[in-house]
Amino acid sequence: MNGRAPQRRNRFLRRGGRDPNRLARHGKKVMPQSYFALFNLEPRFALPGEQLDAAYRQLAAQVHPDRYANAAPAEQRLALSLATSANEAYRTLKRPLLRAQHLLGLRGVDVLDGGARISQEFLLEQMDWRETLSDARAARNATGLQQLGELVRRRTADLLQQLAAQLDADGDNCAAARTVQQLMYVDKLLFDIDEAHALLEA
Amino acid sequence: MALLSIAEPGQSHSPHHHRLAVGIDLGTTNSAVAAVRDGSATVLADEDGMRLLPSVVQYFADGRIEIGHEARRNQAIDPFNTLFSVKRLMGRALADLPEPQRRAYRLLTADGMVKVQTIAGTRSPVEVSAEILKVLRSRAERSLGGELVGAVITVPAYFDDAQRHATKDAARLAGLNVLRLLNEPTAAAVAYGLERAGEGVFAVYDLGGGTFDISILRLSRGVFEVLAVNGDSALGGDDFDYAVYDWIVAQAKVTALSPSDQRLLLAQARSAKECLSQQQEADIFARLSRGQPLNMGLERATFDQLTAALVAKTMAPVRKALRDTGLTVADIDGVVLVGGATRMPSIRRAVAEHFKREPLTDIDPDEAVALGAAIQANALAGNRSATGDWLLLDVIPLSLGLETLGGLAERIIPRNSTLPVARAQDFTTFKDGQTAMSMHVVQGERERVADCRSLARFELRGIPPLAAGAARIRVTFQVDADGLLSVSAHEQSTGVEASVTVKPAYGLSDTEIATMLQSAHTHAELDARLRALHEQVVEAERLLESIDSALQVQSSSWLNDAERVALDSAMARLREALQDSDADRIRIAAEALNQLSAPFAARRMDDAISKTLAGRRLSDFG
Repeated sequence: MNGRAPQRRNRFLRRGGRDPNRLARHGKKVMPQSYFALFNLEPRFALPGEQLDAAYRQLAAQVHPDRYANAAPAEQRLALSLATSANEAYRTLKRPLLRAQHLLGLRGVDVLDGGARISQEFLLEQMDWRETLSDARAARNATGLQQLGELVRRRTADLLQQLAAQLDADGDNCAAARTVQQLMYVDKLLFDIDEAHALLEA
Repeated sequence: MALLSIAEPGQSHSPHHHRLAVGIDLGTTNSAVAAVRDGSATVLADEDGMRLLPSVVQYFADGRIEIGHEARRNQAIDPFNTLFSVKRLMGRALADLPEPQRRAYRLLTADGMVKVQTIAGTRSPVEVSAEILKVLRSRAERSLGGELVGAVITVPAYFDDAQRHATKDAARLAGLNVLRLLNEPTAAAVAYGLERAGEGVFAVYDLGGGTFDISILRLSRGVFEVLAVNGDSALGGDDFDYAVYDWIVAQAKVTALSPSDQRLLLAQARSAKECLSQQQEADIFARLSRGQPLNMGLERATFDQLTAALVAKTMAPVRKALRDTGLTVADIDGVVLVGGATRMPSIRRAVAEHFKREPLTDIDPDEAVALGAAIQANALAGNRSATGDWLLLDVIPLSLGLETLGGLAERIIPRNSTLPVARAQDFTTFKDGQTAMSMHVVQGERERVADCRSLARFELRGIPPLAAGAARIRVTFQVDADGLLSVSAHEQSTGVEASVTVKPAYGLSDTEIATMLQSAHTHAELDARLRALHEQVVEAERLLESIDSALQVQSSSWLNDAERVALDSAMARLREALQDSDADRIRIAAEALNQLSAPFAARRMDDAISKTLAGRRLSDFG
């Protein structure tokens, strides 16, 4: 026992343990449980990185398969699925966009359900940026990619600030869903910029 | 009593008994075994006091096998039966191998995988590796005085699933219980991190005999969190040897070298390379089998020139790994050099230049990996650790996906996901009444399946015959803590469950299985990307068409000039995006046009309704 709290693990086992593959099988569509609750965290968008890191490490230290290298196969399987859930939860809460989506999901708002309207200016800007990206990619223009990346990152930071206010202070889920949708555009664009960078170096 | 004493997982059931576990670095050039004794990790030496075991295996006609130093000395005498750098063949097909390795052995293809012909018969790389592991196992058991409960075997971080499976099989064949496959740079980081109790972000640059890894880790309060790995599983010190070898052959103007001479010159090339890490010039002297003497000097500057491209080749993965972490060189708190090849001054210089700091080399680069593996093995075996509680969080090096229509790879688990990880994705049927679906599991970062590594093919049968697109097949990828993948698929639209779990086997021949499956092939794969593009195109064209026809009928009453200009420009942009076949651009442009035109559509509707109210019949508008 060594001072580690077995109750905590047991509680966790009971909650997640009925169907170890539940999370894995159902992927992101079904929200089986609150990832915030899994880590004993307040369901808020504002989440200090260190607080999440500490909570994740505490849980990972208990459920990681390395802790069960000598255990019975059934226990090892359980550890595998619990550690998998912990990793998925951490990944989700670590990334602001996924965290916001998860939080909205817990509040019964499905961002992907449509309905939210995106402004014309935003879409026009996205089109411009997409064109800049495809031009820079075609011209193998690393500086161009760099500059676009910085621009998009700045926009991301602004949107995240806006999102924090909408989710935590105002509790305006509809506005937050709109911001999340915009962030999805921006996030995909950033990913593509990074891929274009990688392609230049290959 | 038994009911009350529930042991903490990972703790030994008999706390006073030290369970013997070792860490093994199964290297391309050298291998080593280490164990934690009296609280600290040490590399175990053989009876002659040698700590490294050359990864060279010599087969004799009478069934005898020589492994290690003696075998390495016999290379030039018996080249075809003395196998070196077998690690480069693990989990590989003949077609995967570059030319230098193909000419080094008598290779053949069996079950799609490469095997080596020796005087003692055909041997797989797995079997050859098992011979090396057996020597290390008996060395450990003799040295530690008992049977091993298990071993941690290290693999290059950039090893794919097939290479990992092959390594695990070799260990099993050698009678070892594999506690964990551990990534080499992570093992080195453990050796360094626990030694120095360091905190911060570290880069481990690991250039071995045949593989290159770069790993970025964060060390914090006993947690080793791998942030990103990258590398090249076919780049190592061997390639520097071949570069020198080619230079020797060119300088000496010799042609048609016998296999013995080739091996002799390769060994000379290797020792010249090693010598140049200490000195400015190396002498190369050899007498070829026909009596021709060779005598030349190789200067370090020339060597650096010959190998500059290889050094540069390691830097692209370094940049990629760093980009994946979102960090910059300034965020790195230390750089660790691992692997014998990092003794080369040109490598040290290049690394120091890139990271703008002198790399750490205080643990022997040939031993760091085995030491770290031993520390991990000790912990996994349940022994109390002098360094307290710590945890390794490693990642998957290469993305995993499925082949979809058009030969494209659909990514399911992205690279650098923390292990263990599971991800699911839904697919559906392509044809009415389709009852089977074939799945092709691939690993790699490239878009095209042909450029990725093929891991396994399997078929999901018993899908209820439904209309195309009605079935819901959920494919789940699970990667365990060893970095090994298992795949399962379920049909879930009707409650009828058909499922299959596949452990991708490196022994499976792709072409064979492909032929087997051909007859039942149902074109079931649905390419999400191509399909998405197709859907975007169809939708965009429909949108353009409907607006065009609306504009043709009459627009003056519900559209002013400025609005007309905006609408025209949005339509032009969408047409432009369509020409580029860029799904994202099409989607965004269509969304913009759709939103822009929505109010006009409403006005047009109002218009129509008011006209109706003015006494005209709906049919007039048909």
